[in-house]
Amino acid sequence: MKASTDNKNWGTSYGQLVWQQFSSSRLNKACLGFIIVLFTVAVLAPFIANDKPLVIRIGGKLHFPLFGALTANDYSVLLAAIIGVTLVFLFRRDSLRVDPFLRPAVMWRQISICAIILPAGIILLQVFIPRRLDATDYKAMTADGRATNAIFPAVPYGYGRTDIKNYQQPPSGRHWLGTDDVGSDVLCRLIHGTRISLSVGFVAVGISSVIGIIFGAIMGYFGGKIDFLGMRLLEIMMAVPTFFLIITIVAFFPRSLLNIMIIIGITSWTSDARFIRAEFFKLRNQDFVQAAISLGLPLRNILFRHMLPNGIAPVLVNVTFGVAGAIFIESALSFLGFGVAPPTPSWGQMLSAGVSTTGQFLWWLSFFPGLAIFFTVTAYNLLGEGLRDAIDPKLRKAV
Amino acid sequence: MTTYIIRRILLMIPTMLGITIMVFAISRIAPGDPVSLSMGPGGQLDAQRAADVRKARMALYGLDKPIHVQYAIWLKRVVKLDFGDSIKHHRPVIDLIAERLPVTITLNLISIVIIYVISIPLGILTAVRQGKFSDRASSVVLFMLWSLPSMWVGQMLIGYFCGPTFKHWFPPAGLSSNYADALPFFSWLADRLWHLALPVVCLSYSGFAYLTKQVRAGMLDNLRADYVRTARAKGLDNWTVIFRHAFRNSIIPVITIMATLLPAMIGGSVIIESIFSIPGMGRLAFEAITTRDYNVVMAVATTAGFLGLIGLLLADIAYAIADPRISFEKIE
Repeated sequence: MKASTDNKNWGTSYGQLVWQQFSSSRLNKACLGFIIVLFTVAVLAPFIANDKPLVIRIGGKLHFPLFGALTANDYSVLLAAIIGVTLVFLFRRDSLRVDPFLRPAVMWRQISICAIILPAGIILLQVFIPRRLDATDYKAMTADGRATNAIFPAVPYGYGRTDIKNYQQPPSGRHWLGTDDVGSDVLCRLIHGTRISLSVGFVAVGISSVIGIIFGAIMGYFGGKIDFLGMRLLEIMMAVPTFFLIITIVAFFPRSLLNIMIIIGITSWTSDARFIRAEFFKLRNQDFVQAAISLGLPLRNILFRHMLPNGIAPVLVNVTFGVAGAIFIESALSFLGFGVAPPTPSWGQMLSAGVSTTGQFLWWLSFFPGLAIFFTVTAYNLLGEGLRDAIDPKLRKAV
Repeated sequence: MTTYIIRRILLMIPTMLGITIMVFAISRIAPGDPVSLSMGPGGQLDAQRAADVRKARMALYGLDKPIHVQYAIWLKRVVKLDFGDSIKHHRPVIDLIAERLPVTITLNLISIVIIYVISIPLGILTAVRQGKFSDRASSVVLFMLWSLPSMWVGQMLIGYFCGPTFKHWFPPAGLSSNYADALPFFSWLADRLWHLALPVVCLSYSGFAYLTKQVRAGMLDNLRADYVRTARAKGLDNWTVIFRHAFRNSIIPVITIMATLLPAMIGGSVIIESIFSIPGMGRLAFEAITTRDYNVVMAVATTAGFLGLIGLLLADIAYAIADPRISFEKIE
């Protein structure tokens, strides 16, 4: 890595052009900001909404129950978030300091270092952090004076904690968004539900775009018989209404979060494949691809090192819409009762509790989770529209 | 034209075969087989007898044969429209589908007609008024409608308009009132429409927003084109230019959108029918999954695939009629 700080006039890259165009709209930036806030909430959920205090003094000794009660998953999420944020800052620093020709190599090295640290860290955390069940009622302890100096998180309720005495309470000062039919705090469950929605959106779309890119690249590059067979497969996948296909698979497979992510992923790759196929058709006959072929590069390199970076733009837009779609499908599945099991909060499943078995309409149980789904889906859709406008060369002003 | 349609229908056969392979594969890849499910842990039997019983049952259900033979047997029955019996209803699955399918098709047809009737004029209007306040306001509203989750809208509508808690303007469930069969025709129709109003609203608003956006975009492209300027320069009046020239040319994408709209709506009817307890195919699928009625699940998936294919076929035919440039002799 050579850092040449004296010459910074490298011109604007394609990415920078897109970013300039994208960030010229205040709405786009607001949506991006909203999604960043959502991610922050998802990562810090146990610190925002938890019935364990951050600090408490019991019998003259300081305790930190919240940190003790965090699971290995919580720590893994934190680790992943820290690595993600670090990567973003490293890339930004590189774009100022490193020569554009060296940038991809540097970037790959950083990504591969993180790709080693992350799984290793997660495995270590899963092994070394024991599952502690802390059933102490710290609030009762503070109330009757056994403990002092307690600092609770902003929403002092646990998402799995039931409180039958306070069930079906409308929003009030104690429970800002009310309580559900077992007395859990709606706001707290909403905050923890962010994790499910965002992770489903990301993992499902990750799976679908990897499948779609590989299929589309092979179809577009080879054409002919392979393309014909691939198109028939796509036709079959697209003929069955996606939601029916998904619930058919859900019916036969065990219901877990991971399965739902995989099912959404393997059923929604068709549009990615079609976009990439169309791009690769155009690229196949261009000089740089012909040069790469005549140099005898391995197929993997031709497809993914040389062609893919030039044809990825439409997929990027599709990915953003795909995240919105996956979040919607997950909520719909949970709404119908085919999603994650009840103690784990999910927006769709909370939404379905609004009309009780007696026909009573508990509006706060439906309204707030629905609003959360709506805002998230809208933000991703707006982001997709903004990105499409920024990437579409027809609309870009002459620079 | 006829040859085109016949050829198009013949092309559907391999795709339909592919759909049956996919449905069959899903049911067989899944962990656990029906025999282990029906036998349970089998505590009393000793190992030898359990194995024997297992073998006998496998033979009974034809599960001991190789997978492609099993598929052939299943396909032979499917072609004869025999999907087996429903475990929950103790009736042939095909009867259930025949009962439920018309409901879903009616619901979707009404919604599609409403979508097209409203969004085409609205799309033209907003395109003509591009940049004015009414255009910008409507595009914000349409965008929000497009992103609204249908289960939320359904739940809120039921809660506010069909329940004891707020207003009781609409019935919360079903297709008709208990006494509906005794009513004269027009009262019966009114009763049916009263029951269908909210589900149709839920099913159509998102497609309506999407189509309006597409009509607007297509119109804008054409209104900017040179031939429109020529038409105006000729001295034609504004609405003639818009309808005879610009709209005619932007109608083709409007038709092809049906091919994407229809599968989405059929999929969406699972949610809508479950919320409003409408005895259609979506609700049948929902009930079948909750009761693990696998014969019904497979039948519904196959039928849904068939419906999707029909939708694609209709869109293709409409496309061929609308665009005179398409030659009926060649298929790309």
